[in-house]
Amino acid sequence: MDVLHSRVGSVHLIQLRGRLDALSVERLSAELMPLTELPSHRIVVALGELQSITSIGLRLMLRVARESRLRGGGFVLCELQGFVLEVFETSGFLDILPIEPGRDEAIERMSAPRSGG
Amino acid sequence: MYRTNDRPPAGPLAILTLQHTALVMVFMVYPVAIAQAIGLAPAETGAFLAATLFACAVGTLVQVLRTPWGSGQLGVLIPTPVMMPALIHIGSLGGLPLIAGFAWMLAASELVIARLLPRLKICFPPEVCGVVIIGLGLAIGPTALMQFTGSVTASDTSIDPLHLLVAGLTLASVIGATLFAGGRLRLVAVGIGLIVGSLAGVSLGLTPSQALDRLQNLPWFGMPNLNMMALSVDVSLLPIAVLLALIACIDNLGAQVGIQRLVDPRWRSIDFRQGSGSVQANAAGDLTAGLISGMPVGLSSSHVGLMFATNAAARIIAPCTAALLVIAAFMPRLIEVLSLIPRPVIGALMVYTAAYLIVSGMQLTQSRLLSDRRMFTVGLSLVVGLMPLALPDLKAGLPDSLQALYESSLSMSAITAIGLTLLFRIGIRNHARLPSDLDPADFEALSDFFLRMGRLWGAQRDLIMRATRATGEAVEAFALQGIRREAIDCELQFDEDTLNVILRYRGPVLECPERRPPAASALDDDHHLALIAGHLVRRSVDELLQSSEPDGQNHQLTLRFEH
Repeated sequence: MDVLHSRVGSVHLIQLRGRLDALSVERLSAELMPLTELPSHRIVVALGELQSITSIGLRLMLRVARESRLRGGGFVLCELQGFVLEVFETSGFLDILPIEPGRDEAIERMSAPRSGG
Repeated sequence: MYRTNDRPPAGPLAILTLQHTALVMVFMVYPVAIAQAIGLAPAETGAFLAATLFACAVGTLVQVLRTPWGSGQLGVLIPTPVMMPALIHIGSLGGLPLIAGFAWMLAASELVIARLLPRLKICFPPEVCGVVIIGLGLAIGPTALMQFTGSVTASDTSIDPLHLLVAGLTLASVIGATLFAGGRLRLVAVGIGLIVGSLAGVSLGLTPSQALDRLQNLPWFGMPNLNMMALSVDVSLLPIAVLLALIACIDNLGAQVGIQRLVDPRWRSIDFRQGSGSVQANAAGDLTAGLISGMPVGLSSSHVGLMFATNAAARIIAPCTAALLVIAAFMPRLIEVLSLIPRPVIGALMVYTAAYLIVSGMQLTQSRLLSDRRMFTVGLSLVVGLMPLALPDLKAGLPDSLQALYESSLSMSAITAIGLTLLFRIGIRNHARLPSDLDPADFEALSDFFLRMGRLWGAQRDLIMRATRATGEAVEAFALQGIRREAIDCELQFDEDTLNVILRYRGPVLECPERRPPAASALDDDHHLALIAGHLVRRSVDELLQSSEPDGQNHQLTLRFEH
């Protein structure tokens, strides 16, 4: 899996490509978890180019969302589509994670004052 | 789009019915050609044409009856060009009675073949059906282009500019209406082309003035003088009847695939119950033809093209078309009007239809993963299908029984595709075990293995992707339960209907709950996450089977996917 990390203003934009599973989850965790420790962090994870995700990948997303919330930061997922969207729906994670349809909406949500996840 | 059970409003229904009926009239040139070739008198010709219209109507009506009688789909029967050479030969031997007897032999052969069709499923994987549909398009091509350019024979070197102008105008009208018109206009794009082209053709003098004069003298209504039960049977013609029935069935199934794909966007493989019904409807048409001395009929691929072009597959169109065909049989003047559609207009509509069919067939050949064997099957079949078009004179050197086969590029490509499919099945096992040196937790390796086997078996790409993902999820769930990779054995079993992924493992049973576990429990511990993984696995398969050895340690998890 490829992880592309960039900044849009104060927002950390993480784009994922490939497959998020047991083999790749550690690498993404090493990228995301330190971000949740930054004060007032704002994180957008774009899944538009992610081909598939397993339950272990879902757990990481849930863990990052929880850590971010506990530390007063902001975290949102976006661009869910195809099989990835199907997995989020089937597992029920669609209902408990902060999600925006598009990247622009997600960045706007994270850029807004007092925005949270 | 008007689907199978939709009821279009009266206006569109009337236009669609007229389009289908008019297209049948286009194919009435074949019985006319037979009548001329065997020297029928004008009265006999009229009766032959009227009887053929009745046969088309009966076949179309039975076609739309639900299985097991018909296919339950809209499908119009027409006089088929593939029968023409044999019928001219038979008609010159014994006139209409021998043709009528031959029609009954055809019907009997088709009824037997219809019963056998489900068992012939292995002969008709999607790439063969795709080749058949491309073959249908290619088979229409030469006639279509001759009509389009105004050529009289295939070797004609001149192009008639008037023909080309009218044909181009017709085609441009159809394409323009399809691309740029919205709503109902798009639905009747072919009809618009027909009207624009016909008006242009008549005004430019493409319809002979004597034909228009003859039309004036014909009565609106007249009772056709049908030859009831005037048939003679020559048993020596039975082998030709069986061969032609087989070709008709392949043609029929090719058209059926087109219809099934149109009405079901998620079409995966041919529905042989409908296929059998469709061949039975063909037999009903041929029985009728035999009974009243008409020309044997077949399911029209051009009408399937029309259904694609108009995006209308409503069953109700069938009885309306059948009714109009019967009425037409009693209306000499109407038959004449429809027969006067200028040749280039017919050519343009046939070119449009051929283009639709060829592209549709190409898509179908790509709908499953193609191994080298399957690529050869598709490629070689199409090359063989081009033989009658590229080397038409070879036919003369063939035995009589093979000449009808060589007549049709469709039959040549279809029979080659079926033959190669059966030949290339030799030596392919329908099960495979993941090599022990491959780590099932390595998704790329797992995916490569599944794809390799999928190509060999000709599985659908989507099916292989689903199976790979579900297996990957199951392997992760095993890991979450502490089951070591070495304790997992993975086997694939494939047939035309299902793909089974059999996972044998040692350790605690993997739970795959029907009910969705709370998503938030994923953070609790690995066991809860394994439950979520098990639920995802269950939801991603068509059927999930679990069994355990009496020792309680060895288990089998079968993930079943419908093809």
